[in-house]
Amino acid sequence: MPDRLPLFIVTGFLGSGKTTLVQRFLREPEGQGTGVVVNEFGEAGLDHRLMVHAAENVELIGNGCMCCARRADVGRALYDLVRMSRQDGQSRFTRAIIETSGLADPSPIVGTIARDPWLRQHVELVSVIAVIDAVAGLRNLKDFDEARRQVAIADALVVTKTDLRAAHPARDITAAATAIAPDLLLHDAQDPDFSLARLFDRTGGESASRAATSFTATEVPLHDQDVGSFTLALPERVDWPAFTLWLSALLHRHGDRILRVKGLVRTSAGANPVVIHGVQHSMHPPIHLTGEDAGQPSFLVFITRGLTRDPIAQSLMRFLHLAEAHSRAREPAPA
Amino acid sequence: MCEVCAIFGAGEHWSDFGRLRDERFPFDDIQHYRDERKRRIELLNIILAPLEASCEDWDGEALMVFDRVGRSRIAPTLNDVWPAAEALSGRRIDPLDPSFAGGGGHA
Repeated sequence: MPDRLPLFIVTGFLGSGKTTLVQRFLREPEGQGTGVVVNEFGEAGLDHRLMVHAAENVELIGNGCMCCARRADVGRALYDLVRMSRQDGQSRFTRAIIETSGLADPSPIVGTIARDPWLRQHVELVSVIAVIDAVAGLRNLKDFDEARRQVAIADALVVTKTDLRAAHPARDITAAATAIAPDLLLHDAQDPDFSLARLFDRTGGESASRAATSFTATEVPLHDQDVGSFTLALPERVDWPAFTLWLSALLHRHGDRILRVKGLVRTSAGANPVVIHGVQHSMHPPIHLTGEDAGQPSFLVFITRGLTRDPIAQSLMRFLHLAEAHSRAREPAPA
Repeated sequence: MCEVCAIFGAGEHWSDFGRLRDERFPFDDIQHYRDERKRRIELLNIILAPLEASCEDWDGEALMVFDRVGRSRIAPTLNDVWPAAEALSGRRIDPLDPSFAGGGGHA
């Protein structure tokens, strides 16, 4: 499916600088051909010819879990963008950006794309970019669940306003953010080397997969309903059919508390590892790593709310052992 | 999945992506996928047994979930199996429950 419209979700708390970031990119030559979906007019000031407005219209489906809500507005807006991008055989849009409202939880948007067969065929979610400002960001992360959820779901974090006098040191912001999501790709918007073209590049997914193979997760203790993260080491070769059954069942039951799961998995099925990535109840298609095999062991990183490592690790081991016993029983007895 | 190739290709669900090679219709490896699918359904039936439910392959593409009296629901993907089995059995599936997949019963 090479002709899918690359999509970036830009999220961030109120006043974090999302619109400024998107505006800056649209002014760059690489920003040409970008269609933007916004939740809020007014704060925008974007070129309205590039925009499709999405009123925040959330339909709750299934069990009422927020991440399973269908963002009908976003679905329709993306449909319009794809249609426009194909008009008269000309590619008016070669990229789409959804800018969420400051208090929005981005997971229903991710879920809408993952569950809609038409959108899956026509839109490729490249990355979720969280914007956090160096002045109010630390306090927002501490005080607001919405701000923590936005960071938890993001692939990349852009720290803005680091040049202001009232700014906290960037390392404090990144420490607080990576305590929530240890695999974030970190950017400082004021850094002379910061490149919006690279941030909104289609290969953002590949860089995310590279990041997945290189970061070190810090164990963050969980207190009640806090968002925290942990790493789970996996066997050298993971029994793929058994693993997918287990993970699928786990996300079905506990997806509302598993904000993200990401990892590198060496499988029983293929020579090269695959990078898996899911947001709450939705899994993205895994990415196959190619080229030199660095031999890194398989692992999963979970970002959860009030769900700790041990029950998950024990559950996986129990099920992999059961699957192994089943496989042995299945083998024909030696003659 | 292509209508013609439905029974020959590898599925599009994320769980079908542990492929031997990164191709959408890797015909040479089809026996491998058929074996994996068969094994996955066997394991699925171990999980569903405590719920007195079961499942069968439906044309190599979807799954059919049954309860003990034979009522059925189609599950187009693995994600759809769990709500289908729970709706038919009236019980919950929870992998974190020590009784998951053959312990002492479900919550």
